[in-house]
Amino acid sequence: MMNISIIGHHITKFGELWDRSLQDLLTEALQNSVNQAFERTGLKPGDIDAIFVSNKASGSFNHQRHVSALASEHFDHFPPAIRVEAACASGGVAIMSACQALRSGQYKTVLVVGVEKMTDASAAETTQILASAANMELEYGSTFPGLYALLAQAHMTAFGTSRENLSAVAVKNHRHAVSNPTAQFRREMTLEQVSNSALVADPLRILDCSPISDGAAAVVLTSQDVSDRQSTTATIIGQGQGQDSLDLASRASFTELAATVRAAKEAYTQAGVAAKDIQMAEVHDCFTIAEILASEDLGFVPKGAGGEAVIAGKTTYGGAVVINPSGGLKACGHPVGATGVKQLAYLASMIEKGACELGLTHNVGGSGATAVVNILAKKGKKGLSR
Amino acid sequence: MSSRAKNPLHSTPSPLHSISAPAYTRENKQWRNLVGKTGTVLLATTIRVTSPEHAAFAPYMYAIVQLDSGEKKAFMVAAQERVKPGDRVRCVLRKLANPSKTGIIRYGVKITAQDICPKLKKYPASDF
Repeated sequence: MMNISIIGHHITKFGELWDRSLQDLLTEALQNSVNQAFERTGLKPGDIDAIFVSNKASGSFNHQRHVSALASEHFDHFPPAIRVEAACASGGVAIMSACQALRSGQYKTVLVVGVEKMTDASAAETTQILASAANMELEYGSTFPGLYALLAQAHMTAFGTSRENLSAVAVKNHRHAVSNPTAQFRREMTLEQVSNSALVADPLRILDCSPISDGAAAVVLTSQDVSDRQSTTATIIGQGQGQDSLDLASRASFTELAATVRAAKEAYTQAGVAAKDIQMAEVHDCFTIAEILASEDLGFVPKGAGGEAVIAGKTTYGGAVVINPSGGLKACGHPVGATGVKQLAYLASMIEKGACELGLTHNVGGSGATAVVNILAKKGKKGLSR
Repeated sequence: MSSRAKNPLHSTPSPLHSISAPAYTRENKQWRNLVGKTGTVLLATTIRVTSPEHAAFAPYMYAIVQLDSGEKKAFMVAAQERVKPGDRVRCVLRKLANPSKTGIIRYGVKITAQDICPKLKKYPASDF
């Protein structure tokens, strides 16, 4: 499979950004990532062949549909712009679509930008908008915390996963976010704070949930073998996308996300690596139980051992794999359309800094109907079977 | 095409709390497929924070049920009832959303554990 290089990236500050509009966020991410790509490689604006825009609900949050055209008008040559929507996996699917266009030879260099401006709506309106990523015919009355609460209950019943296990995920990710300047919450939390926070949908509490966030992220991808002034370049060496039924009740299992398992299998096969080789992973922890499920479904720990692995320190620095070094969705924030792109951008920056040589991103839509896994490696990394 | 797609429980809700007349008609056709069916609760949670159209019901329970007819479905739990995994329940017709000031009140299928196994009242022969 053709490797694809990440030659520019930018993540805006995530948070309640009352002074920033949808267009402000889009512009910052787009212009900074493209300028970085030009400085690193000597490419010119006209070399951006197409733009893939990841956004879940600007029509509902901001009365702004046709957000793809907003991205294209930043360039004099108005490159083709395609909006991609797959709920919280919009970013992952946009990256997947962009890479497919590059591998097909249709384009050589593309921009992927993800954006969401959520905090202009009330919490109740936001809950309603986010719930539209569920099956609105079969899951009427559900909420996203409610659906993940059912998954948490299933995991607790099957494997004895505890309240402390869930809280430990939040504590770890908040600790990681302290060193991430773009994170929404750069402060540590205790197990007691998480465990005693207000119930949202039993057993999930408010501090088990990722926040409502504004933010944007962008990456410039190329299939060309361009010279890069950056001494270390991150490349995408494997990708996979998995699907499952949109409604939770129709799934074969409530203790795994089959879409994640399918996406991971495809990505590992393409990359020629195994889960044990991954050093860092940005996984989709929209709720604390989601990270426990992901760590198991991605193969980092055996099924049922995800909760105890967090307590034992196996998923932080010094452990077998560092999960969510950015703070994850939980502490870095979750501007829905931006999240999948931010995961890729953050991991690329970790590879450029030498923090890891092989990493993974994992982006989920809905309660697990869509999942995308990307595997990134330091360009020229030895020891890979490719 | 799966059977799920052919057999919707509810039409796509309006952002307002009401429902259009055509959607209401579609739903009416589906209610009879579920009302009266019984099943067993597999998973249940209490939803405490919800969207405006369900705010008047909160906190309410939401459950996945294994119906005796074979399929698994998710339902809101009627009234303020508490259910837990293993409980026997029955599908009933109930109000689904806050009533709007205009339009048709949204009704649909919820589950209840009430009267799921009603004891037969034994009447003395003299009553007949």
